[in-house]
Amino acid sequence: MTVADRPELMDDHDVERDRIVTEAVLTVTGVRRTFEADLAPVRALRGADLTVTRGEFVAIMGPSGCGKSTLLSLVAGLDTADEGEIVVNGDVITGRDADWLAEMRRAEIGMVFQFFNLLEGMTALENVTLPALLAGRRRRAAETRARDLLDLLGLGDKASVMPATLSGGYRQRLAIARALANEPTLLLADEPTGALDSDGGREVLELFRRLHHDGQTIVMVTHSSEVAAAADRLVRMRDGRVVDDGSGR
Amino acid sequence: MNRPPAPVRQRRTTADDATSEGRRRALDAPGVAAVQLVARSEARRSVVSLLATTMLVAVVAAAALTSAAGARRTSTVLDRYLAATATPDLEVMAYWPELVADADAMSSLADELAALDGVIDAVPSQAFVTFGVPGQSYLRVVRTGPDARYLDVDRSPLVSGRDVDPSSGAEVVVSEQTAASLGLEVGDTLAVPTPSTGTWAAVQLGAGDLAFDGPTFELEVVGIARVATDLRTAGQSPISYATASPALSGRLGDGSPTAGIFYLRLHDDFDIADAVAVVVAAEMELGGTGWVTTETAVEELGPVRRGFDTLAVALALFAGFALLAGTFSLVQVLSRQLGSSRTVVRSARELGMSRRSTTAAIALPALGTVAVGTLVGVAVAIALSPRFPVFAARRAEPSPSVQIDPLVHVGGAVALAVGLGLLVLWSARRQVAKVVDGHSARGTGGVQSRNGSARRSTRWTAWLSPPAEIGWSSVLDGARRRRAVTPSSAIAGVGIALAGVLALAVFTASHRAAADDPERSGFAWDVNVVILEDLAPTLAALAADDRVAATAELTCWYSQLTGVPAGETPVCALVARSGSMAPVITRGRAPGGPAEAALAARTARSLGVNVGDSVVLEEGGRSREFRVVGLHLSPVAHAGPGNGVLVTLDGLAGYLGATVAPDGSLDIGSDRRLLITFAEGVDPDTTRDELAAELGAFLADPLHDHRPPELIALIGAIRPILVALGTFLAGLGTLGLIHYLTLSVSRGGREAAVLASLGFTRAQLRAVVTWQAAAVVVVAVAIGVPLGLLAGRWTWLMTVDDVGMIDTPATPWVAIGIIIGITMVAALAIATTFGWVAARRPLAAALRSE
Ligand SMILES: Nc1ncnc2c1ncn2[C@@H]1O[C@H](COP(=O)(O)OP(=O)(O)O)[C@@H](O)[C@H]1O
Ligand SMILES: [Mg+2]
Repeated sequence: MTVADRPELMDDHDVERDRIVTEAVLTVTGVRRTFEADLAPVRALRGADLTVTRGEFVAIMGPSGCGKSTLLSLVAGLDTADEGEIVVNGDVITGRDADWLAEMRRAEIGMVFQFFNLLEGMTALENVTLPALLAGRRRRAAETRARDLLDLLGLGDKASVMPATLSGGYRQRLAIARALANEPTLLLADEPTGALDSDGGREVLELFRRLHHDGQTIVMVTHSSEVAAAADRLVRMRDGRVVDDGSGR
Repeated sequence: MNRPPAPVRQRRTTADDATSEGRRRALDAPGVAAVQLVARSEARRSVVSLLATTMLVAVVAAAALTSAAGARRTSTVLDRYLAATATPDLEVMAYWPELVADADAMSSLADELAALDGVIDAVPSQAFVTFGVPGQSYLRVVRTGPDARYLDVDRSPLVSGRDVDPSSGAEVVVSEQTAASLGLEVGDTLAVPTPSTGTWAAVQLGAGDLAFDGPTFELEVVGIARVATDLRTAGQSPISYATASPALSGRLGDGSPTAGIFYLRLHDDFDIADAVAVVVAAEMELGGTGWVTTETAVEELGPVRRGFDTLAVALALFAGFALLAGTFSLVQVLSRQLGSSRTVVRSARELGMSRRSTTAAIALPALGTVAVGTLVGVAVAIALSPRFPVFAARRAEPSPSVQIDPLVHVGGAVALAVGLGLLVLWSARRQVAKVVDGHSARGTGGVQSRNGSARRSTRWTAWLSPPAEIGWSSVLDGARRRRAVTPSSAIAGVGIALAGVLALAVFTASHRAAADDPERSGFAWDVNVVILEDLAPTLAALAADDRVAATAELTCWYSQLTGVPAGETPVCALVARSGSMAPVITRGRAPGGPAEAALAARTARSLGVNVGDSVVLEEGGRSREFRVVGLHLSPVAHAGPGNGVLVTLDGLAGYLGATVAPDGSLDIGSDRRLLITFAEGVDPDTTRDELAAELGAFLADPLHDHRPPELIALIGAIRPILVALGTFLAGLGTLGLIHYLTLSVSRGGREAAVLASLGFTRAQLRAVVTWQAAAVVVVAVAIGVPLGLLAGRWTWLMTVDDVGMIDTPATPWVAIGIIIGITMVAALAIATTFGWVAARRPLAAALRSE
């Protein structure tokens, strides 16, 4: 089953896509983040700038330790910037308190990690249902939505299975389903294929492309140019800065 | 044909061996460093839970060692007291004035006694034994005598004042109980009236009545001493003791000391009758009647020793319980601690660390907690040693100071540390094996069964809020599935602690109910006094008295029944005189005819009979058959409610072959008592005093108070130990919960961060931890409450089974509710603290890697 077979999941995006193709859903301006470490402070971000418009599929590449993950954490509100401004879907998220950020995440952000970060105590269905419940949906609606997503990602028959019993590729698909539960404005993925074999990696990328085709905005960190090729824009980072934002400007 | 092995090959083998041996050795040296490194990082990673573990070890060690040492100190305290005070094994008292007043005769008789086989030494002393002092019905003994050696015997420790001045004939040291019952303080005067020599001799020969016509000595109380009988807890001694200086014997004048006392220290196998025979012979030789009485320390201090032994046993049980419960929770805590090292074990193995080194690395921090905890425990136990013995036994301690008990403080501590150390090593080995072997097992099979068990349908928790659902399922699933931090041990810890506390609550409530209701131990009246004379006028007065609801006479014969072990069984008849007074019947009915009997529970058990059976009471030459029509509580306090036979007065007369006189007495020397029940709404204490004033002093006699059976009184004395045990259990449960939450919060950081990444607010993250704790406690309550109630009832019934009283257990619902409430509130308070920590940790770092 593909997205094309489920028009109800596509509608919203398709309509909006043409209309607001240039609307920025993420702007990062002059963001700095320094970590206190044992020996010397680590300046993970030293004035990073980035703009992502709705519907874009952006890949961020750069050497290990250049601040890619830190940037995603800041965008997701899991960490706070020392300096600079981040705007997500029109809201300034820098300088907000933890609870405001938590609610922002529910509505705007879906995250996919290299090591899945699934809730091992819950079934696949429950993993996907949980964020929808958090966003205030009724349980029945949340479960329906979760089932639809599992079907969409080819996990329809795994709803009541515990994540630990799934293979890596399936685990990542489940993580993606969970990230999509609340139709996030931004899907943030930090090396989503990093822990997968080549088949699993290909499947996940295929999935991202489909989601992108359906209008999902995606920011994906990777260190593989093969993976990055799946995106329609490539951002390069080095030493805590964006050195090439790939927009050709 | 056998060819010798090729030399080349042989050489190669040798070389190989050397190489692998060398390689192994080369790996070993850095191995130790690696073990240290891993161990140190593990210790740093879980410093809080290691501290909690250390504290738990210290608490368990302190509790077990303190109470074990206390039990030993308590069990020896009476013997140490007796040795320190040189309390004699035997006192032989002679009463013939010619002997008692003759210092030379006394002295040579003492030598004669000392020469007996089995006697270590014998010391003579004179005593004024004065009876029936107006208002006081007890005996009083004042020691003196020309031979000052008695001052070195029975030299009781002073609690205030000083010893008598040997040259003063007007000073006295009294016992604590004497001081208390006569209201004496140091500086007061004690009057000692004496009979004259002639009067006393006449009394001995049955030729005259006792009168205090000799001199009355006015003695100044210079000190108060703790004599052996002061150590009694339950019931007063009927005799009060005082010691004067030898100079008093020089002031005798016309008076006579009324008794000569010989203090004997004995070897074990000495027969008391031998000493008695010698003294009787001496009295007879001087024209006396041979009236001699004896008192042994064993007999006199029997109740004291039983009380102290009960204390010692209670402390030993406490130590055992503490050790058991403590080890149980330590097993849980230590295996939880080691279980949380799973990822380290995996990486250490992947880096090529040997099984043994890995085991050592994760065991080291836990071994440290065992060592440090035990040391702290020993220090606490030694510091607390001067607080033992406790309660009544404390009064007997001759040297109440810090005392190191090598067996407990060294031997016990080493045993404990070694035991826990082995436990740690075993647990660490198992943990390593689980990870290592678990890895390979995962590859080989069992997929289907795993899939099967992994599937599950929606549960009731689905209807809770997300934080509640996660909190609950972490506990419910964690108990079923293997998790790094399992809740089952916390549930068991809290559940068992709760069960223990509730069991103690039920036990003490049952005890209180039994002790507070005299009727449950057979006392259905307010006053019980010995009848010495014809009471007809008194009975008539009482029958007409509004304050009195009923009177009855209790006539008893103490029978050495065949088939009933040791001790006398009271065979009694209760005859109502006015109003209605019935014995307490627990089954069947009271005897209605001369061939019927009701038995007390223990007696019935000893005789192997039940209601409806026939029983033959036999003693010496007597024998009579009764039909058992019921079970009753024996009304005779000192025998206990479980020992006795109730018959009609005719039945008793028939058994004894006696006849009943018109006044209701038997023509055979039986024990007759007057029982009085006060009217409803009358205050028993004041009424009793009023009646005593109107009818005569005998009513005020404290000896005939009803008091609970000895075991019930002893349990009352050890109640603080039970409270301490309950507190200890509660502490263990609390520490267990804290340890579980510490580890699950510190090791569950990633899950919390994942939840946060999904949009959980801090309040919701806190709620997860709170729900987790609540779930542990709810499950623990569900298991612990019924368990505790059953255990408490069972323990109570088992403990008092032999007493024979009405032992219905009590269920203190209010206390139970409060205990459950406190448990909940405490758990939530602890969880809130941990939740606060859990919600405040940086999120991004936790999500980074595996
Ligand atoms: N919580 C933290 N504490 C200390 N240093 C950190 C922390 N998070 C990241 N760093 C450091 O910041 C730098 C950038 O990290 P990261 O954003 O993870 O890089 P990337 O994802 O590009 O590999 C690295 O040097 C890393 O060690
Ligand atoms: Mg990274």
